[in-house]
Amino acid sequence: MPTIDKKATPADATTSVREDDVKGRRCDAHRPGDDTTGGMVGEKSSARLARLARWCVQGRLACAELELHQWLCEPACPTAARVLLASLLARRDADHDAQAVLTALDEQGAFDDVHALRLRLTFALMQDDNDAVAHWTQQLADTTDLGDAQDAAAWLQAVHWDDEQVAPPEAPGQDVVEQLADELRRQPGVIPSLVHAQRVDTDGDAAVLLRVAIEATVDEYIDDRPLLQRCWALAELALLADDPAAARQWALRGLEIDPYHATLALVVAQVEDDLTEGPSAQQVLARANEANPTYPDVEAALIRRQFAEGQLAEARWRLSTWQQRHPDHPSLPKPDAGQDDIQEAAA
Amino acid sequence: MNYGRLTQARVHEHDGRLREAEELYASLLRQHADQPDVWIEAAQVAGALGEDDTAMRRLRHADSLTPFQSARWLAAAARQHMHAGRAASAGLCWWKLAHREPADARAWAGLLVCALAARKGWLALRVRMTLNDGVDSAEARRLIAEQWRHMAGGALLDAIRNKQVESKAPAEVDRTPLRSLLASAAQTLERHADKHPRRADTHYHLSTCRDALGETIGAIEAIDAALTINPNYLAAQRLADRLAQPEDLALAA
Repeated sequence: MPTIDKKATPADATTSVREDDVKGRRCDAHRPGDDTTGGMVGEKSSARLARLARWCVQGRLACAELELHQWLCEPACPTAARVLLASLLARRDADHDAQAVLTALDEQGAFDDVHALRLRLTFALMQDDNDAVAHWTQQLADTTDLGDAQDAAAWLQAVHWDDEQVAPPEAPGQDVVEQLADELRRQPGVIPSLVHAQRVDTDGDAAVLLRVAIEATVDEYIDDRPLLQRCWALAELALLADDPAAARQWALRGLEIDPYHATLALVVAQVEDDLTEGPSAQQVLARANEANPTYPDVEAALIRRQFAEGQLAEARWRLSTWQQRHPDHPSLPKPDAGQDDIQEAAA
Repeated sequence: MNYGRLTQARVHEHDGRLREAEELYASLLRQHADQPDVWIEAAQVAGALGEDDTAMRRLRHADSLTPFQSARWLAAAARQHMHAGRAASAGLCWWKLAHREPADARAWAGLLVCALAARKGWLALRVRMTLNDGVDSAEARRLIAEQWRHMAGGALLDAIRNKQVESKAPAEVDRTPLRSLLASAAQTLERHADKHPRRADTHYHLSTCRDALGETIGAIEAIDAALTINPNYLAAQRLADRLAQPEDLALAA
């Protein structure tokens, strides 16, 4: 007979937990310190989700499934927990139950979860239900979750053949841009952090939206400080979008306000000179370096630029003194490094 | 070979009585430790129980018993990797199988699905063209859907492990464009902070994002981390001061 631990079954018989679902899979859920069916006391949703994810691969899959069933009954159950349960059910061919979980998700208004949409499309494809395929395909194409849009597009390309038409994902609409621009006007302090996150891991769609929204606000500022922040943000986002001309343009516009701005100088250092638009990168870096002698990255960029432009003697002299001042800085080779090392660093 | 017990084990597995199947396979493995197929079947049962370590250990043992990886072994290993959310490893198994048996459309579909889960869209597209040459589009889509059925849970497990999912209820998620960007940025910065725990700037920006999302406790944790690394970080000091103020005072200020 199945060896279900009855204590692991929720006391509330109206929940959707069914012993059939976990038959034959022993659930030694009640280990000391656990409150398996209700989550641990004070446990955050993210921690609970991570714990259940671990259980799924650490031999407690049945316990995880039981707890997910229980969690489903709570209004605060996150979408990811619901989709995880549906996925686990789908894996063992319990399609009907999996689809019931997903239907409940739709009733809560969570239409744009990309994991749920893919699973629904999977069921539609397996059932050869062309209407449902068309419906879920379009939902996936229209996904508004910015981080998922590219994944969704790749997924759609893979499951659709040339004779079938899917409306392409839409570019961010003007209303979204205006809404974001308005939010950024009210919370300008988040702009550097959003740009920093894009530099860590660029999400193409999100970066484009952010760039367009900041551009929409840039000419509203007379004060130098907020304008300078936006010029820097736009220059960085342009670099990420592989648009060196725009990066140079925004960096130079910012440098008109503050000619000694170190991070803007570092942007200029990464693009080719255009002397018709403004000073050369070397001039900008030299000026910023004099004003920020404690900022080693600016001088490092200046040295690289001098190497790249063939001013080897000047670069070597500067490198030698720079190394004496910053002996532990990782970005440049030792002064006694070979020519190849120096060339490589310059590159 | 004790075929009676093996048949019984298979029946238990087929009927979903996995613990009974597991007990029988465990005893069969002791008696027939040189039978790779029994190890593979035992691995599949362990995998269905969610015992990834045991499943992989059994698969490795099965692999050690034969001079080359059988098609059955490759498919079983691929499935186990998929269930555990290791799309790249699963993809490698399907790739080996597809190159050994190019007519095996299931292997190509498996590779395609793993490429999608690993976010390698260019590879998925190339594999799809190969798959399209072998079977008609309806069959190809059915195969892809069948393989995604096995990858979906693993892909989500992987996203949860990498903190790439929202852990709020749908009703709690306020999806303005800025909140979407902030939530995504916070996830990115959390991953970066896990990888590079000594980067004070990452902790600072993470704190800013969490603060804007209204996650005050998380914001305080992150700003504390930033100031522990660099106590002279001026912007972090300012943010820490503001977060330390009660909300009504902060509003008055």
